[in-house]
Amino acid sequence: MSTATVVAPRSIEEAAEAVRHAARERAVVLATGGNTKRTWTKPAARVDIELSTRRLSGVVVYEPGDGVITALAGTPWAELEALVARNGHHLSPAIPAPSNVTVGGVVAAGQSGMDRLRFGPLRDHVLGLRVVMADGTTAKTGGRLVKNVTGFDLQRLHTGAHGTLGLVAEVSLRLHAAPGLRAVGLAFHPTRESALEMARAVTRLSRAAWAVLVTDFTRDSESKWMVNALLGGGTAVVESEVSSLQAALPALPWIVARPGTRDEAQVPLTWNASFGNEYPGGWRTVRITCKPTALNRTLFALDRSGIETRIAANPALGIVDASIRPLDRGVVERISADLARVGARVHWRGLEDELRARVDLFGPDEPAGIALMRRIRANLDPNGLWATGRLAGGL
Amino acid sequence: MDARVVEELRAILGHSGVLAERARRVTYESDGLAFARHVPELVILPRDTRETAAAMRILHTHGIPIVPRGAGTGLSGGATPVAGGVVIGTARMRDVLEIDAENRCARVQAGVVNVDLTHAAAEHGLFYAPDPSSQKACTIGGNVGENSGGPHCFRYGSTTRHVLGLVIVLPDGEVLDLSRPAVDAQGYDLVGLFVGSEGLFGIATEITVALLPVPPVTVTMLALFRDLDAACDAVSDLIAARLEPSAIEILDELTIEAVESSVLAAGYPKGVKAVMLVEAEGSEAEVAATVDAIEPLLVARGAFDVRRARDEAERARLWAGRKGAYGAMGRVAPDLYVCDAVVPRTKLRELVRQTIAICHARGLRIANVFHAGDGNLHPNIPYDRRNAEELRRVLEAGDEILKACIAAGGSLTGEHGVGLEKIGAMEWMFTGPDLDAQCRVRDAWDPLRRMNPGKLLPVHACRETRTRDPRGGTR
Repeated sequence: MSTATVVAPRSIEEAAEAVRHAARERAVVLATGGNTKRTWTKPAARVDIELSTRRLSGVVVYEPGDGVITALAGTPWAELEALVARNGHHLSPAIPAPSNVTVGGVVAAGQSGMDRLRFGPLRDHVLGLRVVMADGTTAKTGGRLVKNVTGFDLQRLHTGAHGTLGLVAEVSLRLHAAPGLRAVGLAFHPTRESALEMARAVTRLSRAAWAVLVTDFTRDSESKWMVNALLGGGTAVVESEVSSLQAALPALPWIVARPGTRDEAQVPLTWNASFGNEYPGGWRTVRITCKPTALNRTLFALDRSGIETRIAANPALGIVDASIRPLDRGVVERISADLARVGARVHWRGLEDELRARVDLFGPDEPAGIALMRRIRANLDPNGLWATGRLAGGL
Repeated sequence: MDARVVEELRAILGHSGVLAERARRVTYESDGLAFARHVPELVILPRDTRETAAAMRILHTHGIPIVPRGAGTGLSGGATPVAGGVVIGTARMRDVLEIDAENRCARVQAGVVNVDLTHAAAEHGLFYAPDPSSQKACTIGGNVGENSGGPHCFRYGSTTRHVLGLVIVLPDGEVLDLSRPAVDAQGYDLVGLFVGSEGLFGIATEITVALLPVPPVTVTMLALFRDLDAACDAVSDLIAARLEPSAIEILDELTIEAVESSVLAAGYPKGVKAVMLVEAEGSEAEVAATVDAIEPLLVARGAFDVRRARDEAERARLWAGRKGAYGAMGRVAPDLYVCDAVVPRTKLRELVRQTIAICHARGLRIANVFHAGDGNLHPNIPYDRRNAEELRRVLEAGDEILKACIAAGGSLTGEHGVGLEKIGAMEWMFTGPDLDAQCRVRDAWDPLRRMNPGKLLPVHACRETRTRDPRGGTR
């Protein structure tokens, strides 16, 4: 990595030219955005050129009346978020977005947000892409339309492929209505079971929930488990839902961001803290996914590992972010194996380079359909231009 | 078809699983694209994944083309066997295998009829969201192949958003089990890639879909307009205001007349130029807020009457009229060319006007009935297929409409697929490199290109010799 030449094109045409040059030189290319999710994949065996989208930035089209935005890959996510918010739009996924998180990086990494319960995974919002292919051509897939079935859905193939099939150079995303009113529910429980039970009840009763999380970031044993519910929507909808949830679950108090009240400022703080809580300081994270009904079994498997963890669980979706330290190869492999045994999947994030190179970030099993995935990769990149060996199954 | 192949297939599928007699094969000569017809050499009807895989291994050995088919309700000729070969129908794969109410999902065989899944889910308080107009006949497998839509996809999205897992039989008979237990794929998203691949990648035999909780309250509104432009503008306003009803549909005057003269009479008043159906779903507060926000916008654009369905029976009648609109058009002419295109939602009025002008310039009538909220136009052109000259004008108008939509930043199809019908138009929208990427992905699934040949991808784009215009031989 350290010896790779960094190339930062200013346009899609320049990016394509850089790829053609690399192809002629038989160089291996790693497509990068802000490098914030570098640890989500294994280090590439070889990289000659780092093709950075850092300067490939800017909004291409934003038509507020149509609810669609198109931007170049290197555009900071936070910039897009702020732009669409001015027109009453919400950009999903809601993710922690320091200034170096880019729209292309989010799409290439297939990063879904804490708002997934309400808006679905990232792949549902990606309407179209322009991708620089390994032969230096640029291929369009999808479009700037909310509904479109013309041609194969290659945007779903590139979303989450971490640039192993091409450089995501331009992205069109579907926007959503920003919430008119937000509310936060917080409750503390001595046991995980009671917290999960409350979280499931909120999900069952609510239609305006953006996220319902169970976390154990506090250390006080009486209030170790926190239920954190976020509601968003039209004013009347949120007001009515808060009052019905209060009646059904009196132990869950709500703070509603009513205009002119102190809570108007408080709610966004709590809300943003919750959405930004993916990586509690310095800990290494494993994202665990399972069927929602297999969550308890999955958490027991994690308990049995005997490793101290802090978790943020999303019981409705079957997603758990577990943070762990200290960490060595043995711990990673043991936890991965224990979780695989109960049918859960792992994705380690944030490991140091040295450890990342030695462990399997995606668990012990190869993904179903790996042979087909390899054929797709070989067909789209016959000469092995894009840096390989980074995803599940060595893709 | 070689008698030995027929015998091999009968050994696996039984006598009733192999249709070799011409009289029975003729049923499979076309789908909803009536003017394209080609009788398949053989039709087979496997009962499950195992039988499908065994049959496809045999067809692979003999190098025979395969055309997958659900209920044959598709409108783009996707199930028409233009290149000969064997049609594999899913008509005997009709089992709902599992409803997992707790995880809000269901596992079904590919031949399960769309509406039957929703009925099966209803007892758990759940429903399956994609609702094509043909939902009483079309199958979940066919919906997966086409990434089908429907009115309520405005809120819930097309089929792809609801497919969680698939069991796919690849062209050589290999079974790929992608019934994923978790929320995201590992590696590449093969499931997302397969949905909407129009039968070119393989056959999905089992499908795991997401189910949604039935909303506690549903209100259906009917807004009446004195002109179609105003109705289109009202939709653009609703989108710009970021309102989120579950469906926004428009029917024009000719459609209204046809529906009201048929057994599906929905109570749409005759003499109005456009009706808009808007549905709001959710909690009582959510529905009330949505309806209260929508009504003034409609009135401001000239809706002279905005009604709400008083009860479930009226609601059902309003929707029956919309969903039966294609059938009702049978009163206007023997055949109907159902166009399907998408435009940005800021350009609805402009493009709807153009579709009308294009048809009138060719002496054709036009009935617009469409998923306005998604910008998904359905200009329908009544015609008589026995009149070759009229059919020529109809197809010419269809092409012009597509070109106009593409020029406005739109696309060739929102839910019916490219199939046979629009294969020649792919190059209006995509460049050589765009199509090359699609061909390369297709070749990873089906290196011998035996799956549904002559559909979706123009063959010369895949660096093959183009032997003939695939539509030419059938028009």
